[in-house]
Amino acid sequence: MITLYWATCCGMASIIHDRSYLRLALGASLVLGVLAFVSYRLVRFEVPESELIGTYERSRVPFLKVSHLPRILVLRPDGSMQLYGPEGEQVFSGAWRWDDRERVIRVDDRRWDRQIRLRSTLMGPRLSMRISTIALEEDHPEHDEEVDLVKVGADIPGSVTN
Amino acid sequence: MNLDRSSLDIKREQHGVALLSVLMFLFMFVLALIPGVKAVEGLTWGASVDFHRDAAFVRAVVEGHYGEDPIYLGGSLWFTPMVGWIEACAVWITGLPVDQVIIQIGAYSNLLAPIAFFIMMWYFFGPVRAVVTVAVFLFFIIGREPGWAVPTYSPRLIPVSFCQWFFYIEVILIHRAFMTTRIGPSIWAGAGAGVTFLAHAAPALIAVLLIFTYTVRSIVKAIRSKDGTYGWPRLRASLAAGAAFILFSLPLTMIVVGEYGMQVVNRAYFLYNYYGLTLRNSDIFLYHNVALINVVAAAGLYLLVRRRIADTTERFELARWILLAWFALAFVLMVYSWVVTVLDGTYGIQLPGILPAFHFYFYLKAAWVVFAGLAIWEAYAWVMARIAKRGTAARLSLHLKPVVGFFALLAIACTLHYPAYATRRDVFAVRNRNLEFMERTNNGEACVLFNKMLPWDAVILCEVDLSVWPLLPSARKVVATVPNMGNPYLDQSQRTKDNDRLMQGMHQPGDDTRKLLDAYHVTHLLVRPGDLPAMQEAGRWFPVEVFRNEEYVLLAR
Repeated sequence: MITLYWATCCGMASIIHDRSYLRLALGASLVLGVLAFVSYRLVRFEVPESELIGTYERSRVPFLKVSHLPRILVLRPDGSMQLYGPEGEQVFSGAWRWDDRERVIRVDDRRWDRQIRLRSTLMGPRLSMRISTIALEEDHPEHDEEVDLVKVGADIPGSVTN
Repeated sequence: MNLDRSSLDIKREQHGVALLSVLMFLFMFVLALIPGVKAVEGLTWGASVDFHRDAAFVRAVVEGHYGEDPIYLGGSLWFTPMVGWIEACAVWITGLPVDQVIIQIGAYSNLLAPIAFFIMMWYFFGPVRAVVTVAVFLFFIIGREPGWAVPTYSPRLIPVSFCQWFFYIEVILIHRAFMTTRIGPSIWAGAGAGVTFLAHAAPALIAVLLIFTYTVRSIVKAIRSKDGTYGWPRLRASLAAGAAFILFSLPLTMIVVGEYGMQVVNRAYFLYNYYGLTLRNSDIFLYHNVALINVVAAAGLYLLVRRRIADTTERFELARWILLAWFALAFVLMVYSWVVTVLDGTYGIQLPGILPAFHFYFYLKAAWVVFAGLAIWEAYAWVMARIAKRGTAARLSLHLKPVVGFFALLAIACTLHYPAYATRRDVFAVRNRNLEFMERTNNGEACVLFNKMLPWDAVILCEVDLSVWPLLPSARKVVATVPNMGNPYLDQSQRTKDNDRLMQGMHQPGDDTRKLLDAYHVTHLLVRPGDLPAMQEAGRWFPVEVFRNEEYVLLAR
């Protein structure tokens, strides 16, 4: 603690009296400030609802079993959504809306409400679905592991098997 | 920037390195803070049962009943009180509601964890390795795990996440105590362990065992070498540390030792097993832990064991011993606690318990963070030595140019990883769980209402799920709650049985209903409106309807 305090004091005192330190501090602050801004912009940007519309397929997760989850998600522009199982059978149909502030898909059914969200990655935003089937609020141990949903195309009206 | 060595001598370069290290720390600190603050923005209630328990203890302080059990009438304080004190102070200073303070304060208070970690690492290994270990601590160790199971910055003020900073400072105090046989530094170390115990038992236990094992080691060495000048002074200093520990932990120990004799009756308190550590969920353990950072940390452990880590602060030998002992103690305690849980749950074999295993897993991972950071710097130094013909890791960390290069790589790595980090489950899912809870409970309306409506010593009979919500955070008493939220020094199973019999007595006449109602000083009955018509005896015992809405009916005797 004393070392850190001393080093900080020395650093600060040196900055005041030594122009080479001042240049170093300003240069480093500038570079780190730019990187911080870039980091923030990589995370914070608007995602309009229209960009989410489409058909998504559940991807794989190493080590975890996800076969109990729907394989296909369809988000339609009319505000309806469908989830389809591994054999193409429909397991859920309902209304959805996009909560851009929380970056989560709200559904008028407690089982699926807030279960699908948009997370940021270096390669861009990606939808992901909670693996646990316990409703979010009832899940006190917080089983919040997720599986990615990969966009496989625009909205496909009717069956997703075509 | 003129980084020419001709214009900067070694000492000035070291100051430059220190300055850059502080700036790097601030850069990472701000990056971590942003999602933390956003995670609690606008929240007024937390969904976690841990928050409900903490709210009960905060309300006990705020309402002037410190030292009393807010859940069972007649019980005494059983939970480490530091977090409750801090939250009660924040309530008093800000004037905000208890539950809003509890959910909001963590984003700021938990910043002490990375600060303390940075200080600890700078103290032991100098500024450069302090920066890289903080990067691992903040951004890379968490991976896919919940924030409460891993040592990192998490925006929730729960004891496990908040209290780690006491341990990091305590490790420095222990190091200073072990460097000498003077009594003063040992008293500081003992006092630090005592204060840590008030915050959280797991880090305090590791700290006490560190002091104990080092003392035993020193005395054995002194006896073997027949060195009379060291053994006794060391023992004397460690005894002083023990006395300071007892003194500073008195606000809790005087109750749990004085009143309860440390006799844990309710085993559920330590039998809780983090789902990522259960045999059934071994796939989740692998999912969480098969990660590059763990391989790097394993390499760091190897380097440390083999003394391949460069010494830049002349504290290496003792620091190495403390780190390895910390790692080993956390590992042994974790395995033991895990075995206790598994044997109890699977075979009914009851070994003495300590705490849930994940608390020690947490500190095992904290040592793991240090190993990973050390390995990353050593790897950079190794590459520089071969490619750029630079010197050793120790020498490299003293010069500005290689450090600037290293920090640039580190800053880029943090930036590239940041999108995944800033929207990690620990921030997103927890926030959404809280929002859903706030929606469902209409901002905790029922809890606030019962807290205002009922006196401190009211005892409410209810089903166990209602004892958690809305009653637990209201700090109003119940006959029985869920086992892991109940006083570990009171017989939980008997309370659960009696609660069941009393609830049965509300449906049909029971022989012992009056006796049990009197024994537990029950004043109210809380039920759901839909359940009441089937409780034909309820009106006999609780004739006065105090409150009714769509969710709850409260009756009084």
